Amino acid sequence: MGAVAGVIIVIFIIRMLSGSIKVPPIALAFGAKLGIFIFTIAMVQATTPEVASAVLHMVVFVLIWVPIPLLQSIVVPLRMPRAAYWTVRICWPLGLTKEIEASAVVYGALALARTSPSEAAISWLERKLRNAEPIQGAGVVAAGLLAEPVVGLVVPEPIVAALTFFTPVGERDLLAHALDKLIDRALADPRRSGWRVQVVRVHAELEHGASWLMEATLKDPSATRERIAAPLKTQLERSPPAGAVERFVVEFTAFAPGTTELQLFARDAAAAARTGRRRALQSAAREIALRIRRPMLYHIIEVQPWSRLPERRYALIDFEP
Amino acid sequence: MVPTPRAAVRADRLRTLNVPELVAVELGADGRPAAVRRSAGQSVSDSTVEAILENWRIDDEWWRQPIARRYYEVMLNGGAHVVLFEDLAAGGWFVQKP
Repeated sequence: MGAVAGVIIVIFIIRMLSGSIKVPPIALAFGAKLGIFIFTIAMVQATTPEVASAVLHMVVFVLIWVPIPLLQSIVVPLRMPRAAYWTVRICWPLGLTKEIEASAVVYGALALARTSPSEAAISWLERKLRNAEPIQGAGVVAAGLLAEPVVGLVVPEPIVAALTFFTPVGERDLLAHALDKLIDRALADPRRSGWRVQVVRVHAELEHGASWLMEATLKDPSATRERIAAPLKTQLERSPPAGAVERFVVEFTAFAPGTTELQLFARDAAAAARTGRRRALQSAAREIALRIRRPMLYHIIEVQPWSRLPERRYALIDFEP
Repeated sequence: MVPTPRAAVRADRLRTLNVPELVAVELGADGRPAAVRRSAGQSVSDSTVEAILENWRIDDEWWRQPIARRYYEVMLNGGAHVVLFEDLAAGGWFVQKP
């Protein structure tokens, strides 16, 4: 009888390996676990005393039938991503059979998240994830856990004042005078209200297509023309433009909060913060489009908001940063 | 956000939102929805209708593809607020967000 059963099992395995019998992965996993369990129990009972045998029974039972609580409460908190990955692959939880490779990467990434992640560990998990096909469910979660978060840069909106000369100007006195006027104009911009200037950039378009640039960072942010202009005039004296200037542009690119009294009058502080966040969102969206190479961000737009059919009221459109 | 169709997309390409989903509805003695059964893949969820907030009928686009629907705005057990409608032209019950 045993020999007949053995022959039947061998034939079954051969047909399964050749593809003529399709066995669902979960059934295969269950069968393998049952076989290992029976074999291990037989070995334990044959060789060890009662107490140790009971403990080993418990360990074997947990590893084979309920490995997920073990993963969550012991393996993942150990903060060892490779150990977590291989524990899933070896223990082969029945609930994760469908996406076993991607699920193993998920647990590895969860273990990684509890420690300061190393590039080597992230690269190792990403290589394992590439073997997991198709990418769905656990694969998407794993890819999300491993991906570097995209953080948009909060860039303050610059304030620009520009002047185009009727005839190109080469005299430094005239350029210094124009600098003063442009700084006054930029300081008078309502968006500057409540803020002091920290970084100022001066850009000139010269004759014959050349250009000239200088930038100054103020040690003490200021909102007075003389203190902003002083370092710029010094640089203008030291390294003046190489030709006559056709267009002169002054740009305030970085700001610092004003004093308490000035901040009370910072009508645009909240608007400036919102604008900064909007620019950060746009830069993050651009970066996501570059990384993933297909649009994954959408706007919700109104199509027929008055329609009596709910599915015609709104639609999704690609988000264009 | 909806899954990408992996096709070339343009900024003017629209994707529908709030697409009606086919469901099985059990009617009460008064002919109004009493329970909803939704299936998503291999999972099935049953919900009972706790309250019917509003109902109305739409007959539209008779010049094109006629639309005849009877709508019910309902509250399900668990607090979900959905719109059920019966497609009187093609048959079948559907659910969507209000």
